[in-house]
Amino acid sequence: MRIHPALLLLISLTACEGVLLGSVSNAVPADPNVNPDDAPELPAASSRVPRLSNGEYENTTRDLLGLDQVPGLSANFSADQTTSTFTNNGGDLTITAAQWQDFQTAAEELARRATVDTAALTRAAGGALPADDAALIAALGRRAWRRPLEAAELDALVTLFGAGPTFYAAQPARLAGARVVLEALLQSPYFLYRVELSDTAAGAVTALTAPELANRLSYALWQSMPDEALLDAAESGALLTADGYLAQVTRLLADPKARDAVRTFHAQLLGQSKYADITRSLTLFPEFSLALRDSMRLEQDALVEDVVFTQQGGLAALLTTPATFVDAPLAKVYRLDGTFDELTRVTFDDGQRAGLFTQVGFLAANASSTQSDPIHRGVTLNHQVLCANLPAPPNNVPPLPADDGSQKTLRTRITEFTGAGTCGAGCHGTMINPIGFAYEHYDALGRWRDTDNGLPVDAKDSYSFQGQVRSYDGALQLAQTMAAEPMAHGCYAQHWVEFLGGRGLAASDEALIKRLGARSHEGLPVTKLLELAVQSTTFKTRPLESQP
Amino acid sequence: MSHWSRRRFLQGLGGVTLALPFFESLLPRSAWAAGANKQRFLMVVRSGNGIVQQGSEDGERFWPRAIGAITPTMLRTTDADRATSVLADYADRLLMVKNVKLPFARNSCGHAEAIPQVLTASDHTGGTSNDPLAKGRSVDWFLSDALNGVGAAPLNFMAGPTNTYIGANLSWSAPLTRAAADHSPKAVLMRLTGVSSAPPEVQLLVAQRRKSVNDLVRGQLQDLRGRPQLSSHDRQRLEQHLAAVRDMEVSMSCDLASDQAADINALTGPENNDVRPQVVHQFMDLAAWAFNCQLNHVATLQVGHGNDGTQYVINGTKLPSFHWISHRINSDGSDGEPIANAVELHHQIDMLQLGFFKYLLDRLDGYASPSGGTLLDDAVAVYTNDLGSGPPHDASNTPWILAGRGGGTLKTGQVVDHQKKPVNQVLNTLINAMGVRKSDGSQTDDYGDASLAKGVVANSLSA
Repeated sequence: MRIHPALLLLISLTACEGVLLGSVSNAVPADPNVNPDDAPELPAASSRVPRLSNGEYENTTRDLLGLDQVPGLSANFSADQTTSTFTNNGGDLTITAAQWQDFQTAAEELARRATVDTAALTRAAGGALPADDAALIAALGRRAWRRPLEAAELDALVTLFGAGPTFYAAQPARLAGARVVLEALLQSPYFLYRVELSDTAAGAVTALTAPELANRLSYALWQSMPDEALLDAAESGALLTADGYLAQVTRLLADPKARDAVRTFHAQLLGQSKYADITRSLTLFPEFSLALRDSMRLEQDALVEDVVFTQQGGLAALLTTPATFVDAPLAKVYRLDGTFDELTRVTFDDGQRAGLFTQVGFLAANASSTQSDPIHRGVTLNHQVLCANLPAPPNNVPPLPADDGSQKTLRTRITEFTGAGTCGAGCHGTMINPIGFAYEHYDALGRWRDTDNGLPVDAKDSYSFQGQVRSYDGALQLAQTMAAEPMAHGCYAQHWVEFLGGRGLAASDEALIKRLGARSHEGLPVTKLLELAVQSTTFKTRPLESQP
Repeated sequence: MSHWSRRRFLQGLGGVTLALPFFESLLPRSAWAAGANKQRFLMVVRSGNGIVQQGSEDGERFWPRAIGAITPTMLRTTDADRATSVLADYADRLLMVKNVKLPFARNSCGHAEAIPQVLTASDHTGGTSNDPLAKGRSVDWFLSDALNGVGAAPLNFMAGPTNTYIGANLSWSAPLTRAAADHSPKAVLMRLTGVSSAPPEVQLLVAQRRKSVNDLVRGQLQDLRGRPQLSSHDRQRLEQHLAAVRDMEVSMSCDLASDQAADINALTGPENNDVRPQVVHQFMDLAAWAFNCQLNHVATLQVGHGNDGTQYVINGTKLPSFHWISHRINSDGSDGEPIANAVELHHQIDMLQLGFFKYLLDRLDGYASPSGGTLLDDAVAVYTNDLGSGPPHDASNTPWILAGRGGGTLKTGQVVDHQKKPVNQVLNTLINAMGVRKSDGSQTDDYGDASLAKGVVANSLSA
């Protein structure tokens, strides 16, 4: 068995978690996609109270209150700080005094908005306004806490509802009652955390309750709360059957909210937030404008959505599709003639562009203000696309010496500084530079170039993909190579397991990552990859043992 | 002693019995930041127009007769005719520093030039303006960073009119940035207790509503935290969440005496002349209470505006403007009819001001400290005047009285002649008494303008 490089260290670090290897009980429906001869796929230890990330909070409040757009209140929240690639690692997220203030203030404002009139309250109740007050509270609570309320919980909220007209005398009594109830619902730990308390053993794993499973699925594929249909499926028990579960998976993936989640995954993976900080001298880069920052983001999002949903492509297509989406600011960088009043899909037939990593955003964000940056481009791809086991740089690394005026390409200068025969040869010479140099045809803004410092660009190199050395000339050939080798597919699967679970990686994820990586390598579309992932035992269950 | 709580405050406002939580969400976030030493407190009380002391035509009527040790008995007997005898009860916890120079004089308006220097020890923009700007940050803000946490503001009070020739100029949040002072004790109380500036009946409803919601949330959190399925890490996370909610109740248990709260609640027009002594007392009540409840560690109080024109009442008689008295004429300028016995009246006002200060010491001494003594033993309370004398309003011999022990760091029970050395050295003493040292652990000696001689007040610190 080949162990994915990024998991080697992880396994050693997490072995103390004591995940037991063994067969998965048939008390949880067996995953029909798993070959029984393969290594068992087991769940990972994870938080039972992962907190909603700021992004999930926005999406959830949007859907809870039936809004067209996210409320945007988290713009003033403290930023989510996690130890993993994605911000939805809820076990890392806490509620400090400052964040409690944020949540309290936001809850009161959202409750106010949701009760400005009966129409707003109807949306918050899910589209129909029960005539009975207790039924209204139960409907609001079921949606906010994403599970049916227990009798005692409902009683407490009914009492609070009754005090509403006292607190908000200027509002009609029912709206006033609903307002204070919504305030309480939105400040509750059952809203702010995705609570999983199930301890029902099912063979070698712990089975989630149906509402817990609905929440896992919804936050995995939508980054938001379950809708009415999913809550209904949970309450009816249909979600606990293989067919009923798959039906919900299929339905959720077909919903536009799944597109949002897939875009979010790629945006965070590729560091899209950095695009907002890109700036360039207009003297050196007259194509640059502040509008280009948004264009870069929209371009990346559009290609992801096009490949994953419209074309039903897989990772290979994300890496190699010779197309992108261009608006007027981007057209200048791509030197395209024509009118681009809106984002327009264009196909490249000049052999210069293909996939996500020849887009302007990635290239410019991984560049200095004046030059390409093969080192950072190489590091980013090693980490995020190949999951290469790249150690942290040593301390006191001197900067690249200034250009001494001799006519050399940047590649030559970097090679002299970090390549073979230097102290940086180990990582730079064999891992970082060979990947970064493939992008030397793209300057600091991502413009195509044939020369660097007056000399022809050399974008040829070779890289060892898990022991298989492959050579390439330029970014497009590198992309084709990455698409053809298993390494990037395993890495892509690893990232998805992390993101879908809303947690950090664990050693027990290895078997699932291996299976998903192999299927991706075979050409499985991303949507199908997600479908497999969320049907897995790793995703659907918890480990048996209690956590330390 | 009966105590006041926000519950009662709002009960008084709204006539409804409540058990209100402390509203953490309305306090500044940085109120929870870790401080350098949580059990140190500083309050500076400033008066204006100078004092009656040697160095002018008035003669000495302020300081004890001798430099060196002082005792309660000395102040009550030998020095009973001196204004500082008012503080006899606290003699062993006083460090009197005379002849402290505010060094940046430009011979324009002495009041306007002096007050920005008091807590900044920095130069000012000067000129002919009655409103020069300090070029440095004041020590209350510096110490607030250390004791309250960076980002938190010290309490900044002014007992005086809101619109005046020279306003609140004691506290500077940054160079050239004057910190606005609170003029209303009631507004401060409402803010410190988390009650907004909305009408009282609205505040009451907000309080009731949040209390009701918090009760539910707290119960849910406690239930979740107790679930055996949770890992220790999850429990710690929920405990942190619960602590954020629970802080409200903890702080709520820290009550203000009911008579003090009632006075604050009843007082209207705090900017008016005739309530000035009450306002001074109420701000002192609030500062001591805030210290005791750890709501803030640093406060300043400016008594009267820059050239304090308050008409104080002494022995039942309403005096002319204090500023006029300090000029010895019935005028804010240099020409006017003489005021009979003006020096005596000025001396009486000095004692009144020190009586204010004693009120603060009484308040601080009335709170027990977890370190064994009282809050006054942990704190340093400061009296100063931004001028040294009536005529000619000299600022080279300003008076400073440091009261309290600063946690044992201050050498008290003595009078020190600072010999017209600059004020920065007094501020350095205060900083060290608050437990704030240089990064290498040595004494702080360099606060204020870099041109000033470094150091602390001689023989002022025990370590």
